[in-house]
Amino acid sequence: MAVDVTTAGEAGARRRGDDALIGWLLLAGLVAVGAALLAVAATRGAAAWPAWAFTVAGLAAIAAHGAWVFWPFQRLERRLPVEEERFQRLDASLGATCLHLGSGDLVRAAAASAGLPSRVAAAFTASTAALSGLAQQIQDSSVEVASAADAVNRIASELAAGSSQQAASVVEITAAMEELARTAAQIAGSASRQAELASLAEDSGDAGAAAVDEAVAGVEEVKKRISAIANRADALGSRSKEIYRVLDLITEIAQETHILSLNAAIEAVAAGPDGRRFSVVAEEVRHLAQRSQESVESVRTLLDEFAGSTRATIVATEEGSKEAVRVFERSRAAAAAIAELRHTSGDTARVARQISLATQQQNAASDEVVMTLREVSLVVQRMTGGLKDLSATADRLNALALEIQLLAQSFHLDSARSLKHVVESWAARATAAAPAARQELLEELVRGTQFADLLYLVDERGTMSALAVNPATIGARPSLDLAQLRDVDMRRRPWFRNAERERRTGITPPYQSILTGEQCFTVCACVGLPDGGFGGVLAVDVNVTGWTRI
Amino acid sequence: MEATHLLVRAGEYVCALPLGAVRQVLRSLTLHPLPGSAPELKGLAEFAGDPLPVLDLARLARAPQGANPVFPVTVVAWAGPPEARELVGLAADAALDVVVLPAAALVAAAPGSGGDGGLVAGEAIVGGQVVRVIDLQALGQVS
Amino acid sequence: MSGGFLVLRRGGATWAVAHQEVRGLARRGAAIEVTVAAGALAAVEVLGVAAELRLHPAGGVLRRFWPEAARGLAVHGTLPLVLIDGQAPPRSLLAEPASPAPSIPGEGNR
Repeated sequence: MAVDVTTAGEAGARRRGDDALIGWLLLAGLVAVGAALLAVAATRGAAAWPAWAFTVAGLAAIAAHGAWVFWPFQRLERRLPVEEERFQRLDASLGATCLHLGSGDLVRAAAASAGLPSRVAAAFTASTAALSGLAQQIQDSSVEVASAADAVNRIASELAAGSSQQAASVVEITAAMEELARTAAQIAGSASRQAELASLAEDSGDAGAAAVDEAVAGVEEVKKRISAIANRADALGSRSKEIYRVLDLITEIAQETHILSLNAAIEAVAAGPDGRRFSVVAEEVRHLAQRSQESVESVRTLLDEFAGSTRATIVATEEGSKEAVRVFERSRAAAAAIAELRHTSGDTARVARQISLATQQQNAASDEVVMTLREVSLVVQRMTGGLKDLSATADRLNALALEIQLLAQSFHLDSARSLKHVVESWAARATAAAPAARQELLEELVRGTQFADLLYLVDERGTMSALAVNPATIGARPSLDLAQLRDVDMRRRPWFRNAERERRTGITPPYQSILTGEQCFTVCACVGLPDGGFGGVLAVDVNVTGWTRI
Repeated sequence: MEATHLLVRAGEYVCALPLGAVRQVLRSLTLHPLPGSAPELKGLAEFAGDPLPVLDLARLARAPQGANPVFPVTVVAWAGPPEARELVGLAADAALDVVVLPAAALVAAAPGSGGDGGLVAGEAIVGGQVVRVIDLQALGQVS
Repeated sequence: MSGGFLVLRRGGATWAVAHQEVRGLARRGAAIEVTVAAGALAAVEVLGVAAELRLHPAGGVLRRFWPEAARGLAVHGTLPLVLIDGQAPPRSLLAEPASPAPSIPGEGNR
């Protein structure tokens, strides 16, 4: 409930004047009473000087009260109407200023504050300037926030894409690691089997080595037997040679005897008839020699056979000895090969066990890697979710920035970045332009902006009289048919009603445009008639994705 | 008339030497070849302190070469005509036997069977083998 | 036969030359040269001198198969030898003629 300041002030002034008079009168009365009492007291024997002092002081007080209280109040009462008028003027100015200030119209608020006292006006001007700067800072900050949100969104999208790739890579790596694990398991199995085979080979090598040792021992024994046989054969050969020498000797003796018998026969013939008996003897001797020779030949034949057999035996034993030596050497070589094989089998078994152990370790490591990759996959998934949340947060941040921007734009600033200021200037131009030229004006205006999607004029009847589309922002959208909108009554739209009622430039909250189907907000400024009346609304649709280009 | 012969092997032939012309059968003598001599003359030897020319009976009989002799001999015999006979040595591969050859068993030597020079007087069959009878008297005749 | 004989070796055979037929005896390098009436004989070795030799005539068999002139055969020690004729020694005993001096073309025609 408003308070009538002037009436209350006037009444208050009168009341304080009356109070001052009453006070003066009371003070005079009190001084009189006091003086009377003192006089009475003086009459009763008290000193007279207090009464006189009191009386003087009282009178002085009464005079002072009159000089400094009662008379000023009287002057003030006389000046009260003038001041009251001045106060009303100031009140009106202040009210208008505050009204504009409250509606966010800092421009009009600054204009209205011109009627205020200089200091107040300066304070208002400073305040509006500070507020204007603050609003612009807020606008700038909201733009930065929106840009940051876009950047975050972009980064989040890139990170999301990277996360997707990473997730896919993790899946591939996981599959590869699982394949590797399977392969490692196969290798471990093969290595284990190899170790078993090597162990079997070791065992076989031991048995083989033992068998070879036995064979070597047997061959050595055979070598000894063959050597003994060879020695005996050599001994037999030596005896045979001796026998051959004896036979040769006997043969020579037989030959000599034969020759002797022949010579005897010759002598017998030379002796003539006397030598007949001698020739018989010679013949007998010859026969003896012949038999000796035949015996020798028989013995030689037998000895040859025996020698042949002995030689064959010697040859066989030599061959057998050589073969035994070869077998021995081969046995030695086999033993060495078996030893080498055992050594190699041992190494193979050891290596196989190492491989088995290594593959088992590799298997365990692969399992750990797979688990780690799965955890990484989960992390990536969570990160992807987080990025989605981040993207959503960026969207909310973007929306918040838009809200802040709209909040900042709710102030009418004297700035080219103040939508209200810009649209009001356009509305002023539309007001000044002829109705037939307004379409062209709108098209000119829309081409010169980077943030407006649509500019349209709705007349006082709520009918859309002009529409301009920004090709740079709308792009290849299907062209809008103005004829379809002619039947739409815009008077029911809240923005139209607010503009018509408030006669102020307003900004709607974001909504879905029926014209583009996208989220936008509209800046509405009143268009005037030549007589100053309401001529309609100039509306500018700003897409929510393009407000940062304001 | 029978005649006792000494059978000797010379190369692949078995030669018969009349025993009456044979002085002695010896083991092969040490020979000292004479430079410029015919192949039939193997060289000079020492026999009973006297020089003895030794001839190759196989060459004299034109016998094909046989196996190496195991027990070669030198037959010391009288060669040449009775009025100018001389001791010569006949190198043979072996002294075989003393046989009696009837004169009727002697047949003429086959052509080309060693009768070159007239030293093979004839052939006989002894023990199933051909024996070539040597004419020692013709040995001393200069051809 | 007595009178002394020079016993030589040459060509694997043993030879004897009667002292009275020996006109000269000299060494020519590694060989020994014995000069006889027919000329010089070359020997590998001089085995010695035999005071006497029991000669056997070179019979028809020897002459048939060795038609060289010889005074006879003998044995010196255990070696059979041939007693040569200094007038007609065996060709194999003759010393080889000395090789002719190298001639200057045309000089031999003078």
